[in-house]
Amino acid sequence: MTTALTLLAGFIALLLVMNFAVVMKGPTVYDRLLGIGAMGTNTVLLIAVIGFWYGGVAGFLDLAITYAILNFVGVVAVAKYVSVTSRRAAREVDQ
Amino acid sequence: MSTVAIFFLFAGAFFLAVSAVGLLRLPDFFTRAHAVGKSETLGALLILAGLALHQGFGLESAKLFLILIFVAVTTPSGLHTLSREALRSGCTIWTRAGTGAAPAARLEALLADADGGPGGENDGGAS
Repeated sequence: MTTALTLLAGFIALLLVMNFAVVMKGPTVYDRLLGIGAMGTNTVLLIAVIGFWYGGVAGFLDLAITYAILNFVGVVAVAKYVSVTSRRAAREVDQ
Repeated sequence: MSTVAIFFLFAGAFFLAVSAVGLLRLPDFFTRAHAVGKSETLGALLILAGLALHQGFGLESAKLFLILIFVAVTTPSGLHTLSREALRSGCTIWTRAGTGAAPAARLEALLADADGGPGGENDGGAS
């Protein structure tokens, strides 16, 4: 089981690198936000898997819950901020 | 028990890989959001369920169940909010011709629907 957990943690870390490539590449800011959200979900899973691999599971799961909440609130807040400010700038250009 | 847990873990890893490849390869923001919103959610749920099966009944599996419910609710709804904001600020929609230009009437209808919907921040006729 420990071997499976090690393989799984390495694989999730590889997927994190792939998602980070999207964050670097994405043509619009929404693509970057999408990659950041996917990275956050993968990080929650990585924290949980590392907790099972390492020992003290309960503390790592508390970290995972906190990271999931922060990830959701952060992505939604930045999406609303970018959208509202870009539309406000477009409206000021129109006037 | 352990074999079933390992099966769940690797099925989840497969769906996470599908999500990451779709995020890299698909041509458009909305198609990429489609890939992440479904496949990433399913992969996360499978991995968390596999960890809970491995752990057995207890405090840890209760916390894993909380994370599972939270991820299952917030990942699709957060991506829905993100896609809605992208549509309202005029992301181009991919078409089969590959030009990146959506059919004009359909796009205008979508934008009007998104801007005039209930709960949206209209500018109150200021412009």
